[in-house]
Amino acid sequence: MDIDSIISSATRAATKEGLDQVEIFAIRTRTLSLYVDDSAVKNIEEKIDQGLAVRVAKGKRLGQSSAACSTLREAEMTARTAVKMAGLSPVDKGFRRFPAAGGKASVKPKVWDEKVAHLTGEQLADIARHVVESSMDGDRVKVPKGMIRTARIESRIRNSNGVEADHESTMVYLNFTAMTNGAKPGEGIESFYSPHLSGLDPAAIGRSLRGKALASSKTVAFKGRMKGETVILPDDLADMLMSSAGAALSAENVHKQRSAWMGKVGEEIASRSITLMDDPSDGRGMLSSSYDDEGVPASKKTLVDKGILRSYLYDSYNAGLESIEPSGNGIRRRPEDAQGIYLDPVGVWPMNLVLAPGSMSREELIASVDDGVLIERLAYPEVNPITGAFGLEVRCGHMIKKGKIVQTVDRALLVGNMFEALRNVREVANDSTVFKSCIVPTVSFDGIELVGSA
Amino acid sequence: MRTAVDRMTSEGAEFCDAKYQMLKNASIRVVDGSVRSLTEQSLGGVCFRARVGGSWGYATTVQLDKKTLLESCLQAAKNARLGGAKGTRIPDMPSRDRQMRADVRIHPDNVPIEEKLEYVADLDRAQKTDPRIVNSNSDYRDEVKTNLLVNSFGSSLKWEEVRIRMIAFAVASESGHREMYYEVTDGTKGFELVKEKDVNAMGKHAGEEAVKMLTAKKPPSGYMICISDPQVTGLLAHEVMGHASEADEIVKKRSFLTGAVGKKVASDEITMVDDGTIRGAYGTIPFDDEGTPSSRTVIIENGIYKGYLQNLETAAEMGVALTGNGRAQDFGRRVWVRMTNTFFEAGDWTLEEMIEGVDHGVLADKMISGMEDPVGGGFEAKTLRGFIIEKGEVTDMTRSFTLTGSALEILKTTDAVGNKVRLDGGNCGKGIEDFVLVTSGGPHCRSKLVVGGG
Repeated sequence: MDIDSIISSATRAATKEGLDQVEIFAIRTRTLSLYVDDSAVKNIEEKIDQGLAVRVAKGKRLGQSSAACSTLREAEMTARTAVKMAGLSPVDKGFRRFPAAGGKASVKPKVWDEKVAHLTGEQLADIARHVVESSMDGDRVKVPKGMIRTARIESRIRNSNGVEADHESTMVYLNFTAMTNGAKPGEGIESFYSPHLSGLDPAAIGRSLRGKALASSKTVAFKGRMKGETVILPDDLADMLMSSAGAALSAENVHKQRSAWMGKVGEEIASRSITLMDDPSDGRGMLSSSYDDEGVPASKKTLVDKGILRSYLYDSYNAGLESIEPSGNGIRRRPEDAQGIYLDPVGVWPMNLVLAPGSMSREELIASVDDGVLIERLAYPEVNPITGAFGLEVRCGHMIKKGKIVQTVDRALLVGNMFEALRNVREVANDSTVFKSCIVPTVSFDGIELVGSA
Repeated sequence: MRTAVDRMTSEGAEFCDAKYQMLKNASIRVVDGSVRSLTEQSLGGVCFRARVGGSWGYATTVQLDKKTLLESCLQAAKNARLGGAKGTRIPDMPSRDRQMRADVRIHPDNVPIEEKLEYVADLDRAQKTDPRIVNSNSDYRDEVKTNLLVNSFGSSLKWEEVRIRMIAFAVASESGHREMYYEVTDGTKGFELVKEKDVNAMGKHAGEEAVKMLTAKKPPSGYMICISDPQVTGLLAHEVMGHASEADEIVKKRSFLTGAVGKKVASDEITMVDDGTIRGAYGTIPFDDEGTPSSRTVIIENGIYKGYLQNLETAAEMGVALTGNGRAQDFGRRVWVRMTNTFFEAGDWTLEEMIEGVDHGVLADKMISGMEDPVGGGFEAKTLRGFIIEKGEVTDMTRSFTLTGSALEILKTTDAVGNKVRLDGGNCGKGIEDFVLVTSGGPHCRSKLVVGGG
């Protein structure tokens, strides 16, 4: 059943019940994935998914329901369940309305790639084999695991206030691991995120994987402690930034009094070298779109301007709490996966968080470090979203003395606070890289500690 | 489904299965006394899986008409033929024909959502123990999963899994400083889990402990003695040894435990098991996602490594018995080797005896998250908070910190294992995706490792 008929069926079923407001989010995706195990193509998977998320309001009583949905009957049932939930729900005094119609899209990012939309398993296997062949180094390096996931995503948002927003995008996500053989194996990881296939260079990814694995095999356990300059590469920094600044910028967290930047609009919250934007117009962004997942037009916004906090991000609910218009940041979609999106609730996040680049190249930035560490890989770069505190296991780091890498280390913790680190930025490089729904460069910080065993 | 299996076999599949899954859940979220979400969801669909040589083809769809199902099963067989990986043929197994309902007293389908809402509202209200509680959050989710699996062994299985999870999450704030605390109850149980829980005491405890944490001090950093509580011990069991014992990491020699069977890997105090049969535990499953009955697997016995966790493919590759650990997040995701309920068994120490023997160290309390490192044998475990131990006495409370080190070195330093085991539920990813529901746990354990927190 086509997606428009599904929407019509759900809308009719909900409207019959005399509700004040109805919102339908419908999405259809085709995902083609490939897994490499032990340097061979292990799995090829094709997945067709389609579903609905229905939100309804009976006055200020809200109900929602979502389901995988391929028939008109399933669409009707999903809508009726949402209506039932609204009937049972107590009044939500904070609710104002679902988004209003009228806003025209001001950005039109190019996030559709015809080649990705029609990729075949054979083509995906060719890419994977190219990465593997470029990674391997005789018996020294192999590829124990790898994954390429591509998807085409078509979504529609319709609400009874007149919102009609359509979105189409494609997605390419690659994540490969290479490791060295031997008694002390080293591991290197490479990722690639893009709506397009054109920037994907399997040979370059393979060479980088091999280099990282070989470097990682030479690590020694870090001993003692050090509080020098800390250089963090874009992949890990993106996660650290999203889990701290991304959370602090959310109006939902401001209203819950969980945001570290609550009540600080207009104040200096970071170094002058930090400018953060939400830029849904950038065609490199995995979630870039003309509309958010509530159908609100998206726009480019400066959130932190040379260290000064300018604004928060709003979905319709949190905008309603302040009687302002939403900023187009009600997000359901995910940057690396297209399955079951209709099951995810609307969250308040940047659509494409961009940290403005500086002027130095990565190499120049490293050369400028007198005494510090370059963090190549953390176990899981997650920061406490409320306090900003972190203690992160370093899987591969390079000690720098007078601009030169002198040793590669592991078995250490990187200890600090991300909100404090953003006030202690030494340099921002110009090597902006897409990682998940962020585009960030390498940054060096003061005040972060490296702790190892005695 | 049987027809599809026959078609995949005739298309060259050496092994194949077809699985229908319907996952229904009700979820309630109350925030600061307001019902923010009252939702019912369903996710139903079919996955066809075919194996040719050592490669798999998957095809999944939510469209259940005959034409789509036939196309999908043929696509799975085609995808399997594309891979070209070598592998050991999965040997024929005896066919099984079983139907099982979930072992619950009060099925959540038979409880009105109004009644569920009352308990969640009480849980939220109870967190407001102090004006410094600025944000209370209470989540409830029940899940009914119906599985229907047919495979080329001739098996035909239908089984149901029921799970409930309820969380209280309180945020306290004073002079711009924020801290949080949470309480969880969960299990493969019916609504009796909620009825038998004192939700007021649960919420009150979360609120009180969040306020206490406002006085917590910066944690120490360095290599020191750490007594882990059962949750953190569970994280060590799960992240340190559990993931590295998954046989898909062994067959591709990506685990530091490759070839470890029969070797001494921990102190004599350590015995560790994975047991998917524990009645009521959150990670319990009657069958894995390949239709193999779950079982109890001894991984380490008195410090000696005993064996790995297996699915159909890895057991065939290694020529060993199945353990029932082939699991997938849902019908649309890949089957990997995964844990169920993983824990260290009890020793004979009391907590007081352990603390008495520590001159300087920390007591780690409640987990936040962890990350595995099967290649390097390291791990990362984040705790919610801790306590300083000085000269055999517990003194100040500390904020969140992280534990890390070499798994084998840490387990060799474990010199005391507590006499009470507790299991806690959670979501376990393979890397950063493919989440399955598990428990991990154990008793208090005393070891030496690297500690650090911001």
